[in-house]
Amino acid sequence: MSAPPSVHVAGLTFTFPAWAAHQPPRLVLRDVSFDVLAGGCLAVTGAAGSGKSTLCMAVAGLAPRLTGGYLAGTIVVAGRDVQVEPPGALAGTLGVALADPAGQLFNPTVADEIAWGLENLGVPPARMDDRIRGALAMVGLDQIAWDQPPQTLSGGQQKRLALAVALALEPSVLILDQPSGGLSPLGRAELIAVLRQLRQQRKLTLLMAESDPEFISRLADQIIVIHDGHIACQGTPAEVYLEAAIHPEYGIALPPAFAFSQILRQRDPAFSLALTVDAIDRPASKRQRKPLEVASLVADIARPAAIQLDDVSIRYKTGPEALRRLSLAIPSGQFVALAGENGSGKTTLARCLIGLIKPTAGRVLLDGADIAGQSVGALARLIGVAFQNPETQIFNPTVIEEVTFGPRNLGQSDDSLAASVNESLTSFGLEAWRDVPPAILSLSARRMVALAGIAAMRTPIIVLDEPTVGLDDNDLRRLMAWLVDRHRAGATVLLITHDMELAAHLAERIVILKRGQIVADGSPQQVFNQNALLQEAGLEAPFAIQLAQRFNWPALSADLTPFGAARVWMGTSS
Amino acid sequence: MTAAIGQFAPGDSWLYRLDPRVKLLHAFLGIVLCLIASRVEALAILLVVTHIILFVGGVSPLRIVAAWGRLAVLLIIILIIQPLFSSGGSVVLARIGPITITADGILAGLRIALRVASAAFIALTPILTTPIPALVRGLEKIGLPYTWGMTVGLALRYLETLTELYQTINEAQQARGWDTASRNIVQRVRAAIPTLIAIIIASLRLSDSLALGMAARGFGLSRPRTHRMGIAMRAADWIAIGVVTIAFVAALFSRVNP
Repeated sequence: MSAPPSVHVAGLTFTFPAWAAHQPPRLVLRDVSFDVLAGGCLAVTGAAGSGKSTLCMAVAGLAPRLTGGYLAGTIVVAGRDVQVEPPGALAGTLGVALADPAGQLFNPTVADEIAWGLENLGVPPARMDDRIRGALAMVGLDQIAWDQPPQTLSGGQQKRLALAVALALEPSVLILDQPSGGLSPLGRAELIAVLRQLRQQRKLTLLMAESDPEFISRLADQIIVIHDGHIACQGTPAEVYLEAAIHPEYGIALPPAFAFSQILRQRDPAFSLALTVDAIDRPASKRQRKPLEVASLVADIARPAAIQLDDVSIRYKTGPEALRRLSLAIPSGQFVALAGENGSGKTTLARCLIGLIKPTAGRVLLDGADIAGQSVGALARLIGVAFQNPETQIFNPTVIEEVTFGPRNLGQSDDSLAASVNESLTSFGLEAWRDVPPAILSLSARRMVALAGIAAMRTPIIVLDEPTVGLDDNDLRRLMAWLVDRHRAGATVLLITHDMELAAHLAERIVILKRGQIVADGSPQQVFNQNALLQEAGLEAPFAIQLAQRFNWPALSADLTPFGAARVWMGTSS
Repeated sequence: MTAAIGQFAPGDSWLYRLDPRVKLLHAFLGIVLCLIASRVEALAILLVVTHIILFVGGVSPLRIVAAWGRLAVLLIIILIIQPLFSSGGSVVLARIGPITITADGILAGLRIALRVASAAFIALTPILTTPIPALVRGLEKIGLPYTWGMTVGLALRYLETLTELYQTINEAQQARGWDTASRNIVQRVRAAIPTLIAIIIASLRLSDSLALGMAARGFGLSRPRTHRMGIAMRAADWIAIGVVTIAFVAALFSRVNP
């Protein structure tokens, strides 16, 4: 009676060859079996390097064919054995959107990009424009110019174009590798809406490798957790997150609403488990609320500014101004989170602080001294900047040499060099990988290597540009612990991030950029309560603020984590 | 950010509208002339004519200047090195230890530099004025397999990506205290090796992801491909072929060779 599953995987085992002669081959997946019903959505999650992407690529018929490695087991998608079909033959049945959209968008225009797959399948030219139009409409890009080069689109638009490219081939199964990676909160919300609509209207079957709990819990009806190569647990999002909460070794982040409702359930077992803020029930008994303090930003005038920008404008050779008459002063020892849509000027700001790009107007001061005329290498003594992409920050043969590169350039003596390198390796959980080439590590671990390289320089000012993209939960915790530590020790921190939970958790002050200008600057509570402004800047308030707004709390405590929200909740309802 | 040189930028002129096959033929014949011409004057004329074609064809002078910028280092190296090693001829200009600099040596340097510059700009003409899919289609119509044309197209597409990659890695090194100004040449060359390795690793990752993306979109299927935008020879294209061929033959019979 029941229809056959869209995706059937049985006894899948996957091995990658050893990276060096004396190493054993790496067993990535063992005996993995699951089904996805037609129209279902399965999220595969797990720590970085757990093999969730490999699993998706194997189901797509791309691994081991194009990735190397050995595979055993059965994979059937829409009734076809993916290992038997010749490469490319499944293109009309099975769509794939890879983790890095830039790597798969190689045509000069949006229209060429979508047409390229249709041409491979031999679609008659007369029908192509309709298919292109349809695919762009499905992902909400119908307003886009067809002759625009894909590289000029924002990160969120590129992700959706990659999706349109796959959808134009009219697949019945769609496989997505890390769909939410690198997206701003707005870009993520748009992608979720698009995928939900596709599931409803097209009965599309979705299989995705994903780690963002918000993304998973808003889309998936089933989750499998890969840990230690096999399926550690499997079930609905609520079932899996319950299990994951008692197994930190899975390396899975919990949705904030789930973490919140779990704390409350410890006190009141009748409190229902929620995955999203909308699913949280009003407290049964509504007592009088205690007034709560709003922590506002205390401008610390006494402390000198560690970072100061006076009327800074920056214009690239092509394009509009990246920064427009921007002024910002960050007192020494302050922890600031900088947020804003893709292309709002955050990265330009980071680059100009270390002198990699010169302001067209205005001046930049670090510790009270104008940086004009100082070399980047000399400024590195004062300010450690970690850039977005770990690939372009790793250029040494082993992890330890990579981490040593910075402090050695700064002329640290041998003793302090060894100490700071070791401390840095420990902070970022890299001791076991000291002598390994960074290239063989997972994305999350490579990012940790890049961050450890900055950490070892022990600069009084730290600037991190989107350091959490692709980090698994364990690595994220390590990074947070290190940041808290450095901040306590007096370092000034500028954290550029799309992750509002992280910003709310760590920062004393939030600055929001839009088209090269500051549109909001204040304490997390001040900034995150301005809904219209957040929406315009493509951002989303963190869970605690969303909850407070939903139940009209007059205010929140300074702790804007789910734990802080739970404390307030207990205070108001008991 | 660098100005994208060596890559197509949209434009509208007779040169842009020419069939890619015509532009490829022009480039082929032009490079043949470059290789057989040996007189400095002939090579200089070739270079000037190519610039006139680019200029009249509506290619932005900024892009031509940018291309000269990229070529400059190579040309200067040729102009310096060549006279050191070709010491033929009787007019001796200078003797520095074992090295003899002659007028012929300098002329030889000039000849090679001009040849490289002419060939570069002739080859750039179709690349700067033709969208990559049209160029690929042109190569395919000439008889190259589609995969070959696609390979050329992808190489052009990612050339710029690799240059940017080099720059970004270099910036990351400076941000970690690597001061190029205070280093000697040996240290700088040493530092370039890991940078190159990082670029190779990053481009391998890129090509992996590219291969996956292409296979997922049905690349390499045995069924015949279709084309959204066809290319067709028009009257203007035939006229251009005539002009190019006549110019080529005329150049052969004129005093290109001494």
